[in-house]
Amino acid sequence: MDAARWQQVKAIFQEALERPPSERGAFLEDACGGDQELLAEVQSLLVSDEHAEGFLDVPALDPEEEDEHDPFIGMQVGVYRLRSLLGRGGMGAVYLGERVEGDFEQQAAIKLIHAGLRSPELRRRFHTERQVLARLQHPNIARLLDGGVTEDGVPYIVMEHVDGLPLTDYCDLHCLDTDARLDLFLTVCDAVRYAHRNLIVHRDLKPRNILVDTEGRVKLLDFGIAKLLDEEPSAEGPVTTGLRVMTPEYAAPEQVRGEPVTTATDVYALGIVLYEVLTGQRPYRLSSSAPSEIERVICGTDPARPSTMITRAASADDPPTTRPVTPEEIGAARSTAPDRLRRRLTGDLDVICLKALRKEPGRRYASAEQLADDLRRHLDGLPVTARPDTLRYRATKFIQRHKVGVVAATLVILALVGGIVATAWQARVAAAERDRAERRFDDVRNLANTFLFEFHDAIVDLPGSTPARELVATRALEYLDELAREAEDHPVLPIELAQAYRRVGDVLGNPTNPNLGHTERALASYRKGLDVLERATVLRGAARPPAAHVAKAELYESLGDVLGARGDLAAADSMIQTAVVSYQQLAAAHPDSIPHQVRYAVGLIKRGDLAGNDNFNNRGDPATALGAYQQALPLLERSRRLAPENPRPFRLHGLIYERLGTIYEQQDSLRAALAAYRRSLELREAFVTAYPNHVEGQRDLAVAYEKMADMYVHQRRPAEALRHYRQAHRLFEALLEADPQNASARVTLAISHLHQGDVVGFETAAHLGNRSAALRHYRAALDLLDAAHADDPTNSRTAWLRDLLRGRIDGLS
Amino acid sequence: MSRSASHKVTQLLLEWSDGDAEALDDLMPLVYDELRRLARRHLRGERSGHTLNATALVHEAYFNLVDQERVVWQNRAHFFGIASQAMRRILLMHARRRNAQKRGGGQPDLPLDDVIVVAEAHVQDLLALDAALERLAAMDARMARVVECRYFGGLTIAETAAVLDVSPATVKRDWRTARAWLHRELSETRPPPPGGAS
Repeated sequence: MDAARWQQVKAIFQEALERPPSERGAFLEDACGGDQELLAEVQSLLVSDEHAEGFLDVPALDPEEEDEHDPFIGMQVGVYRLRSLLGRGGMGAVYLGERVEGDFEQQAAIKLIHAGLRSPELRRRFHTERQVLARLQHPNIARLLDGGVTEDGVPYIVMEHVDGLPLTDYCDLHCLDTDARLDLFLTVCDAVRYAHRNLIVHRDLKPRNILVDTEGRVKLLDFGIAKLLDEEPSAEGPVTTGLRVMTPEYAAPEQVRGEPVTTATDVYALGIVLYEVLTGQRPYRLSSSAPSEIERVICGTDPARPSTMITRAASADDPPTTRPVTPEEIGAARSTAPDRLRRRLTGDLDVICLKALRKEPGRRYASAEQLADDLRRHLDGLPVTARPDTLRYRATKFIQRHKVGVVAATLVILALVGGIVATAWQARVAAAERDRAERRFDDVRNLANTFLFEFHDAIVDLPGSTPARELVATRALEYLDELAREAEDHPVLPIELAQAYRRVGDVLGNPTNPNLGHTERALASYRKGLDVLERATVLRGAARPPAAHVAKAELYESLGDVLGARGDLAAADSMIQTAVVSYQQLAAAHPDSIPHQVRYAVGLIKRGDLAGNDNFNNRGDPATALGAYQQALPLLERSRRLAPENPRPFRLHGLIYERLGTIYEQQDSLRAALAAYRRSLELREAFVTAYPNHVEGQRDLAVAYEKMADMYVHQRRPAEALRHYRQAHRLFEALLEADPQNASARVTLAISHLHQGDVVGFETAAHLGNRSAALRHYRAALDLLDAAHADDPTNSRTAWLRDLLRGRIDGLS
Repeated sequence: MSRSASHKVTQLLLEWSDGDAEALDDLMPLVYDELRRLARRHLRGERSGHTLNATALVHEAYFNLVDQERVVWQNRAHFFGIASQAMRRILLMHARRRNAQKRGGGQPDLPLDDVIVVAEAHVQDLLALDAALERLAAMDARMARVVECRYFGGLTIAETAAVLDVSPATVKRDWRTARAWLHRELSETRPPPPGGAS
């Protein structure tokens, strides 16, 4: 058969399978359209399909003897036929079953009690499992589909079949890093919490009962020894059976001792699972399964901190395994190096694991939910409740000392942000007395960060917000500064502080955003930020979190911005290069993170600007500039594809075409330049339509009009050029009106006047010959620049533009 | 596995995914040797109590051969694809030798540590399957690859989908179709079972 014919056969065959057998005949007649040979071929495949059940299902090398002698294989149970053995447990076996009359996806896991094991106790437990599963309907718990007794009197349960791997294997297979592992684990906690809410304790949580399917969904299975908390106590089996059915490595001390089991027992098992997911090892090693040995180890020894397990060499006594065992393998399975992993676990994750693993149920997390909450706090960079007491002690002391000051200062900021945060604050103040001091410490920190990040960033693009931003950033900085002094070993505060210094510097004098024009003070602020990161001992060494790298690189980037604007090009270039190298590494390490991709792209753009873009102070190397821009373009295109709703790559997409156009124009490739500018104008018009209140978007659009106008100047079409310059000018004017203190808006408007003056009257360009109109534009521009110069006499760009304008005015008058 | 072999395999994987087709030719023998080495070690009982299975071997080879710091998941999929092919070659080579032995020719001095245990009854099946798979590949190369990944590489549906860069649904459909086709092919070449369907 040739390939084309086969494609026909295949398509009809596969479509036939999607239909119920009763409809297939008619479908085939129709689909084959009288081609008897085709019909016969498809029919013969359909017949073969019925016989091919299980064919090649066991891979070539995998042992399959188990199946061959198992009398259950092939048996029909309910509407299912048992196809293969999935696993054996303490009281029976689980088979993969397929619906007898079914189409594609009708598979199920069928659990049977094995012959000879059908004691009343097992039957009772089987019954309990059915009851439990019937009660649980949660996306992360395998569903109960059916249940009953076979003709031979064998009780069975039909459950959703989960085609997945145990949690630990899944994580290793996909080389998930610690954050991704924690995310999956949080889903597990959520499923356990749900079971607890339904008064069910699982009692046998372990990776083998927590599968992750091919879609990455977590499914909790095997409630075979689960306990109904509302069940009559007398129905509980004898204490000794508890030991027999539990899995010793995951059993809590109370289970080992035969003491009452509560939700805290599951919290303990979750602790072991978490330990294993994070470190690849279990906290306890049992040298035998003798009850005395189990009790000695589980109840009598303390687990080591997870972070200390990473560099512990695998022992020759360890059971053979194909899983990662050496420190390098364990690190590699988490996409990191052993030393980095150790540092990642040190601190929060150590104490969270150990709190879940406390011997006394009452000293563990009270619920799976609390364990999950603490992990989330850790992921969010917030202090965890399980941290050792020293920080709480410090925070309490701090609040006691500064109580009046903190509250008063908070009120000042509250006046700025208005009611929303106030409500939240009051809700927090009204919170329980417990942990009050620590919560206050967090509140102050949260509040400072709210101002710094959410509030500041929300208003940065609003016209007129520059002085408000300075106030907010400075005030937030004061708080963080103070908190940092009180908690020197805090893992995140120095990063927040460095970010605060950067924002303050940006507001003070960074030309890439609306600013107050104080470049000297801006530089000082950035240097302080770098200093904070340098001094923070907690951030030293290889375990420095990505956020610290980002904060540092951003400070270098901002230094480059300001130094470049001041004309110190060599220093600016070296700062930008430093930032770009960091950004590149971060982008490579986080290929799907839009922020990392965008930072790298922006770094490249700035490097290009500085190298050879004539719109900036530059080092006269347009070839390097073009290279940098061309490197940035695919990063932005990819980011837009990954996150179409994200305005940042959208805006930069318009910007990169403007940059490319500029270099083409400088190199006199006018056709290429015009195409690039057109593309930029289209993208920016689309952007302003999508985000009408975005100030920078409007500024971008104005620049795009200017660029098109420039091209018309080149083509000696001054009327067209003037029309576009005016479009741009109207936008620039509106922007300055809305934010009169904005230094860069003023300079921009001055440049707009300069362009118009050139087009209407300057001798050397193709122009409209109106000298007096030109002179008016130049004088307006000079006025604006004089004001800008008075604000910031050190800005070399302003100085250069003033000289230029004076020359123009002299030439005309 | 030495650091340099790991380095080499990683480098070749990266070169291959960068479009250097020749890297594959250099890669295959390395993966092949490692799989055989692992299989032998398992069979010699260095890790007793562990059953030999394709899935575990392929994953272990991956851990041994590839520097996971340097590769992305696509490289991993490429590796699994190669490993599945290598497994097929290993099993087939063994089956052919066994077949030759039984007929009294070939290589009587089969070194002990070179043996991968394939149940006697499976030798003929394996050779017939391989021949049928070649015929399938001529009509539908991707479908044959699905069988190679699933049956010889022990890969799951999802892993196979990643290797072949298609959706899991496509792999499922191909897998079922391939099984029906292969089952028919193999039934036809055997003496028909009494009352058999074909």
